[in-house]
Amino acid sequence: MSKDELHPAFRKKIVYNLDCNACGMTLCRRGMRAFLLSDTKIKLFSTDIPEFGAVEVVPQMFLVEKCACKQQDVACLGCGNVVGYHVALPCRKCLVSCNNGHLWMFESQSVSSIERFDSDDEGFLVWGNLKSVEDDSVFYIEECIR
Amino acid sequence: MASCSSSKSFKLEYAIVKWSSYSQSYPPENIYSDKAGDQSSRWSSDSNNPPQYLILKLEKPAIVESITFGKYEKTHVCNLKKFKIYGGLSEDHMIELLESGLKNDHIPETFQLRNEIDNHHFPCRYIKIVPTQAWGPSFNFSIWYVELKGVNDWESVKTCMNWYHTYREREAIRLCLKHFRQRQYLEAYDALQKKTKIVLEHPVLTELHNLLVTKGHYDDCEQLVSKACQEGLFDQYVSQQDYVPVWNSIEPVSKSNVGNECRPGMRGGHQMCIDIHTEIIYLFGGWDGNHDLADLWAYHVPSKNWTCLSRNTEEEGGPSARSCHKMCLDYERKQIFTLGRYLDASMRASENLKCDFYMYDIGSARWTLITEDTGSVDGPKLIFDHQMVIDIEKQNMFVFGGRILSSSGSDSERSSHEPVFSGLYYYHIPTSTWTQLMEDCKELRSRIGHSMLFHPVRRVLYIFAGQRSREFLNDFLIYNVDTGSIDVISDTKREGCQAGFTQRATLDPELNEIHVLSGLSRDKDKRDNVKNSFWVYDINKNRWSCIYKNENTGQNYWTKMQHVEPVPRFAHQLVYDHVRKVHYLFGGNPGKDSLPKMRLDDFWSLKLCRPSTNHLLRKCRYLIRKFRFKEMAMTDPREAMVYLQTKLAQTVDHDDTDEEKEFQLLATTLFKDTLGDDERMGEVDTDYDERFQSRTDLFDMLVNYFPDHMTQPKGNLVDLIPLD
Repeated sequence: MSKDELHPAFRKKIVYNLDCNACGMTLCRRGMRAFLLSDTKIKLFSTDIPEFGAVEVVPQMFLVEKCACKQQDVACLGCGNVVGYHVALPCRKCLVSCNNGHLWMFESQSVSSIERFDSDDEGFLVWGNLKSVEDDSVFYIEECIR
Repeated sequence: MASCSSSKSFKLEYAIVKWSSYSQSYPPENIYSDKAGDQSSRWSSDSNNPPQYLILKLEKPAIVESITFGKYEKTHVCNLKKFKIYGGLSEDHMIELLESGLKNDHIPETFQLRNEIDNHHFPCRYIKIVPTQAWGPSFNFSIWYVELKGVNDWESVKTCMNWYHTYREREAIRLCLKHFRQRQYLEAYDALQKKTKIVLEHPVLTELHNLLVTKGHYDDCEQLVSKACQEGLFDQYVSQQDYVPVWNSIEPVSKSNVGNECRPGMRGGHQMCIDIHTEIIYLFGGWDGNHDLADLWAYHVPSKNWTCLSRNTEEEGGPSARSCHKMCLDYERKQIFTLGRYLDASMRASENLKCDFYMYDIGSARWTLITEDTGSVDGPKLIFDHQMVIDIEKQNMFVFGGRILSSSGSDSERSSHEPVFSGLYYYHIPTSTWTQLMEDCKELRSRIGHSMLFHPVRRVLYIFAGQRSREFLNDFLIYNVDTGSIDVISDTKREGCQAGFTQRATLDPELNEIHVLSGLSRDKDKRDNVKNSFWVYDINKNRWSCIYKNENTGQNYWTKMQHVEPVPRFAHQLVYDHVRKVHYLFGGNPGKDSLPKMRLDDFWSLKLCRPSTNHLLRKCRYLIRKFRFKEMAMTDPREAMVYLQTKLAQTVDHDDTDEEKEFQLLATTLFKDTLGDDERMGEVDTDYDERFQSRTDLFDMLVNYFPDHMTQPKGNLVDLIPLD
């Protein structure tokens, strides 16, 4: 999802880097503070893409209680601890509600968060200014190191 | 198998001396402490690239008996799904002690480790744990806690240390002797044997070597080998070969007037038992798809005849029609006992929930109602899908598991919806008394659809598989009927047959084997992996082997095969005649969705066959003659050709396509040699060496069939030379 498709309500939200609380592995550089659509009391971080090679889904899929989404646990590749979940098959109810399009969730007690700075501006980077995944500089892989 | 006295067995102290890798916050030392609540109290490798390992050094050399793995309080993807354990006195010389895996749960698991060679304990100083697979495929390996148990008091260890050193020394010398003889360093051979007085092999084999390799007296070799075969020297080799199952469909003798055909009809959930003295199989009751049955049948194996002993046992003072009951037979006193039954939900009024208990006296053909309700005389309540076995010598019956039927309106069932399972009971026949030995508990979890077998010599019950509600159990337990102790052989029968399937099992107390025929799963979702498979558990070796597996599931396939091999099924019956080593299978439910009321009435015998010693002797003769022919072909092709056509041809198994083909190709040997006589002159030495080498090869092949304790060592000295 590009930033233009992002619902205006999310454009002012800050972008976070997320590390695994247990082993310190960087899990994600595009985190957003979020709450569950089905249970707004639960606080978490969501992302459109976790860090490459940082997490893996646990194969068993399960149904959640509050809606019909099918989910899988997500574990940190560094230590194997479960750090969140992945919505493998979102349900109709969640798709039609106002959502940020993120299918990867991190439990706030399993990760530590730090705000990302905006390189063009002083202050924290917000989702409205965050480049798309393809253009996000943190994902650049140098083609040739000379 | 000898085992260390567990009274001397203690927790062994160790230190970690080497590791493959670790992730920053998870160093190897964490496995010293057992903290299930702390996710960080573990060793975690920093990669899952092999080899990953930990090497533990014991404080003192010890006979290591078991290893226990502690776990995290929750499931964890880094738990070891597969691992191996090695041990030895030095880091460089370790042998495999165990290959197994952990369940992905929070329950600590203990495994027995191999600690014997040739029935002698051997000591270890080092233990190496090698994880090979984690529960999450791309995750690193974690171990939370390791505890080793064993014996390390110097008195015990010293004895086996001395034995071990002597053993190694002796084996080294025997390897040298074998090497010297193979290379014809005969003076060195004689000198070493004279000095050490260590024998390379049994005198019979030295004689064989002399006749075959030194003298080339092939006829005498054949005689020696046949004598060895007659004396039973090949029996051990034969007993180590895998079984081949041979099914035979037992058709009724007379197929005339179909309407009056005298054989039991289609059914599942029936019971069978066999009188091994008279070779009569008894079959009682079952469910034909619509109704419970009350007919009693006898099948006489030698005459292949079914006799209907009673069309309706209830009319003769016996049990009412029933299914999912259990039956066992005392072949000494010729009595059959039956207990339990399934009741339809609509029938479960409390006045019906009585567990009647009957005995059938075969001699007088009379039923006796022993008690109207065992539940009211300290025995089991009304149960079904339990297990029942008889200890004929001590006149006890053991009943374990089964689901207790309760009235449809009863509080306990309605409030919890949880099924209630019956514990372990025994019934003393002479005094007609019931005693409950155990309730449904953690040590012995009650269940339905399990297997329970009584070993009359070891006096233990083997209990395995079964299910509790949706949970399929795959543990394997031994209950000692004299002491009441429970041994867990494994709490995951990973190497064995699949859990919870509607398996049928039998026990052979002479061969010390348990046989398991896997059935069709009752769980429709799991029927995709239907297979017919047959497993043999070797009690002495504590080893499962699958001797047969048929994974075909297609309807057409099984229609075609219906007279060759039984289709997969459940609710069938399997009995075993351990004297004649034959199984019998009758009926069951093929689990067809399209025909839910269909039941089977097919009847099969099953023999587990191994190659006979005569077959082996023929093979030896063939080998000897083949080598003799090759030798002849080098010197006298004409004579060799005659030999090939007569003597050698006699010994070929023409049903064995590989051997037949090899035999046909042998003729080409006769035309290979194109060298002229002059050229051959200088080759006498080479010929001699070649001949010696080829005879030695034959000798090594033949000694394979002799028991290990008689032969030269299997290994070769040259194979011990490191290449880098």
